Amino acid sequence: MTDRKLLEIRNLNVEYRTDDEIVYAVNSLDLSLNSGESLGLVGETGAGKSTTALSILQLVADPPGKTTSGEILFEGEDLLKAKKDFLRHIRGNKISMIFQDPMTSLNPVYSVGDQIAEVIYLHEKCSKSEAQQKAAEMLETVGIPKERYDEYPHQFSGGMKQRVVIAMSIACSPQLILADEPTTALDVTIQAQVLELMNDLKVKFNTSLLLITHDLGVVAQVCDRVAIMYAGEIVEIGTVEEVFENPKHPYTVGLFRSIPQLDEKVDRLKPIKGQMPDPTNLPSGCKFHPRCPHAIEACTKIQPAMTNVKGTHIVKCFIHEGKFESTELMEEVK
Amino acid sequence: MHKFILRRLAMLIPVILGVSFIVFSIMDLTPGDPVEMYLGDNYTDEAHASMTKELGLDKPFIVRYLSFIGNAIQGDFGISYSTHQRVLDEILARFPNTLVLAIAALFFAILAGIILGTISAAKQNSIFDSTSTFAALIGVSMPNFWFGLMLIIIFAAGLGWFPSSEFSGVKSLVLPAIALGTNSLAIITRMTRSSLLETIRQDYVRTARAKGLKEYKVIIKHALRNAMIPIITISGLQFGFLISGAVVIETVFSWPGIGRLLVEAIQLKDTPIVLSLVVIKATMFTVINLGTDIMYAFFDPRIRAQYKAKGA
Ligand SMILES: Nc1ncnc2c1ncn2[C@@H]1O[C@H](COP(=O)(O)OP(=O)(O)OP(=O)(O)O)[C@@H](O)[C@H]1O
Ligand SMILES: [Mg+2]
Repeated sequence: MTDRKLLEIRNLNVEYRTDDEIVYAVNSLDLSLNSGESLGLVGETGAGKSTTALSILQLVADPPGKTTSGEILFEGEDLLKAKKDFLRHIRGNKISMIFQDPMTSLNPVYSVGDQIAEVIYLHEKCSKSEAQQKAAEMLETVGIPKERYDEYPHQFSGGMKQRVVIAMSIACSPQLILADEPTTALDVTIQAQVLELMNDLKVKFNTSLLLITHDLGVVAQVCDRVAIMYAGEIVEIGTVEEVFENPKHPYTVGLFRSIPQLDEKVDRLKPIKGQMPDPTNLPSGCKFHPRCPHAIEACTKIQPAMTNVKGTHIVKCFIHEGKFESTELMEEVK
Repeated sequence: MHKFILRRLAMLIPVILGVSFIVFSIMDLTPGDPVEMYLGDNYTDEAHASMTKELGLDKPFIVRYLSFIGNAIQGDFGISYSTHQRVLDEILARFPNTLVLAIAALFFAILAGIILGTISAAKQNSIFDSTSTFAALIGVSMPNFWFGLMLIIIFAAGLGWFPSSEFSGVKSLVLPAIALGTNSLAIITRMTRSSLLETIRQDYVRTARAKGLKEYKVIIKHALRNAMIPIITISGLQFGFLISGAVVIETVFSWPGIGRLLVEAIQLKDTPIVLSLVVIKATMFTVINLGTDIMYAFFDPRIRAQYKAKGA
């Protein structure tokens, strides 16, 4: 595992412009990923996780989606400024994506085998029959007998469709896989198999993984690092140990409290109070302040900065900036 | 699939029996004397009586109907009351012209309609899109005899690129096919656009894009293929409509098709001609429907699977 940055997102802003309002889906987001590393991206529904992943491949529906500013560097090249040809060379080849909903991600009118072969034929200099050959092997890799090559998506179960989608995404041995909740649509046993499979691939091909999920358990199983996303921002990021053993941001703390623990007897789960802010009308200051038990006046007015607390552990909160209730901050508020 | 086709073709029998019975009844119930038609202006009462007998018109309704069916099965569709020619010859001389014109018009409408509709959808809200929307509106509302006349005035009389009325070869087909197909073209363009706008938003189209395919491939191979079902439906309907023979276009271009033949036959109470034409049309409609269903299966594996399940 090298420390070279494979992907670096700087100050990314994405919004959806509809007729009368603007949804601020991703706000000043910074994120980086080393090669061979897997990063979990965790957050409530509507936090902007899918939008972040889609914007890496420039697949945000436009209209209404617009990337208003930022840089997405892949091996040093800014994908936001890249030419169409270059982007097509990256898509499916160097970076591939597993979409959130396997049921609708496959084209109903082509056989599953051919859909896998399509991406191979496109990026690997090979004949159509070689591509089909390899597509059949990919099916076997994800545990589907290659005899089912000629079948259509409607003949497959949800879990099998998801495997097909995974086979498609790993077919060209990409350097980075963006997996958008690859297991949410699956039942628990299949979930475990799919995660196992992705772990294997990670080891085998040294593939980097951006794994989007609601499920902290999945993160613990698969990821090296984890980023917590709230209202379009990263509020905490660090290695899985750092964040899981010592969550810092009040939102992260709340997240961990809201999941049941086997080894502790808890009377009641404590969900985080309140709701995600309206993305068309985000609160000023720290976006979590309306729900934060520790919020002070400064939190309502000023944005906290990303602060390195220990090792690679970074948090966006005044408490950990060392400024909490400091006179300096009081001054700034005025 | 073969079983499916055979079963559908077998359905032709009740369709033809039903349709011919209805038409036969209508022709029988409407006023007018076919014998008078047959004999012309000057005839004696004896001649009238004997001709009535000869044409079998003295027999009861049901007997006449059954004998028509019986003869038709043997390929004898009777004699035209007005021209005294064999009905089969009359129709064979004209129906191929109608068929050729309808196929040419449909081909033009489908080809241009899908191309225009696809560009419109891919470049939604562009100038091209609004222009084509406007043109389609004109295309649908324009009376086609007027459009046909304009084509003749400009391209035949004015520029002399095409013959205006003489009936010869492919060149004489161009103007009438365009005049006849323009309505269908406008309808198919709109249908392609709306159906494609629907599929372009689907997740699998994004998947195709995520593979790194060129945009035109994403649209044509992934979105358009899925948008075909309603386009096929509407094309089938349009074909049925075109094949009915376009009286107006046939008149404007002096095209010897069945459209005018049918109108004249109805006016002259020429029952054998009317009946045969209606039977031919019913057959064509059934065959077009079948063709439409086969096309569905070609484009959509889910429908293919259904047919297979039913056929087995
Ligand atoms: N096509 C769109 N048009 C308008 N708003 C959109 C669109 N797609 C997403 N949004 C909005 O952008 C915000 C972020 O959405 P996104 O899909 O990225 O969330 P997410 O974190 O992936 O949520 P989930 O966990 O439910 O998948 C949400 O408020 C959502 O309503
Ligand atoms: Mg999502």
